[in-house]
Amino acid sequence: MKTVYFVRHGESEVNLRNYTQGDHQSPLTAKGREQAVLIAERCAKLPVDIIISSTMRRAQETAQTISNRIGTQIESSDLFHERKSPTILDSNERYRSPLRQMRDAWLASFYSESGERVEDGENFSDIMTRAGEALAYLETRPENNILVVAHGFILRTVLSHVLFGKMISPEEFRKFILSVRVENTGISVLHFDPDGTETYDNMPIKGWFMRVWNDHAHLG
Amino acid sequence: MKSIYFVRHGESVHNAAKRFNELQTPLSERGIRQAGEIAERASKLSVELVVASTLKRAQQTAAVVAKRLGVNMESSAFFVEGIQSSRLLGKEVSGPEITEAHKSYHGNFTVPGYRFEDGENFDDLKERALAGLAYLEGRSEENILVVSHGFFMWIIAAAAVFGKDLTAKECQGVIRGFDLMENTGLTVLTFDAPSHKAVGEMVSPWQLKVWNDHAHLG
Repeated sequence: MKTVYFVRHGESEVNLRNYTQGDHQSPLTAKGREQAVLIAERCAKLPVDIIISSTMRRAQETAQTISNRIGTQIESSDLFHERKSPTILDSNERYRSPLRQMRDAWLASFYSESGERVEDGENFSDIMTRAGEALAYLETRPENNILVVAHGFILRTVLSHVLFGKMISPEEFRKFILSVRVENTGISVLHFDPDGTETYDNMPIKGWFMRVWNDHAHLG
Repeated sequence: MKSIYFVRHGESVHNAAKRFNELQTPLSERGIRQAGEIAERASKLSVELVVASTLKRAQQTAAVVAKRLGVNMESSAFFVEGIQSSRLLGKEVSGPEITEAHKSYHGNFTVPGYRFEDGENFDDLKERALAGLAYLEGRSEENILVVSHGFFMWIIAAAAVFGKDLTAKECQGVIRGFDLMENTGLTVLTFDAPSHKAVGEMVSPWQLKVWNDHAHLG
């Protein structure tokens, strides 16, 4: 059975500004760097064979701190990128109309049946497809213990894919996303059992299931 | 904002023997140790009240926690285990009777009105979980620790995440996709006034913050 430890990056500058979170180069804050050290210490007790990190700077910095502590190498993958915002929004911090309307339309495109996209931003079906690809990629990795450093929205999307598969409706996705939280450097543990040897109430669990969500005991 | 710390009871003697729990099944020695460990951990949280399911294994766990924290303990039937067919109580978990029962129960979980013998069905469980959450909303305390049970915690989590329109399919997704909580594992739900900052209406003022944190178990 495969174990994947999903870690959300430490607090970053862009988290504090709370806009689209699309800024690739936003660094960790001082607090975020401290959180990364704490989760790295915790990871030292886990059997991690490989670290896979989102390409965004706040994830890379978190992954590097963990790698320095546990001596495991990092690979980067765009599959764990945060939801992708329209490029034009990333370079504009203070939204005025019509950029504000564009941002709201982009946010709404994650909970809509219509399939419309806003500029080059991702929508519901794009991110759900990517979550499925991310899970399939993890299934085919040869390592049994993988630590992934990623982001709040894509992590919740991956979990919703685990629970409901790709048949999830935008409305179910909306309910789920808005009611599940994930802290900076919170750690979640997912397992993949290809054979159905694991069970719940005597029923075989084939595939993915979630053991722990957003444990952040290391933050005190 | 309210924080509710849900703890699954410690290991019972039937958990250890892989038997279905009965109403009066007590904790094992290991379960008593686990209760001490979660009590120690809970001492770092600002818990004002302990609420325990009325079943013995939850009462014993809660008593250890309440004593360590020096707070009151109350009992509530809202948080008892999902009520199973009475003929299965005490039987071997992987024995033929329970295996067959589970096949029927989970195989028909999403069939409207389906009930297995004299146990609770989805509608009963949903109603009880929502009533339990409403009871916690109405309490004056902000930080409450609730000792409950493995199966019922799936229903509580599903009711919190999906709200009053929870469907059997959504609930089954949670039962299938969330691992059973560990004995004395910790699940944290928060309750806040509905916010309109997010896109669309909030479905539920409840949020799932943590599932099955068991860092205190090593």
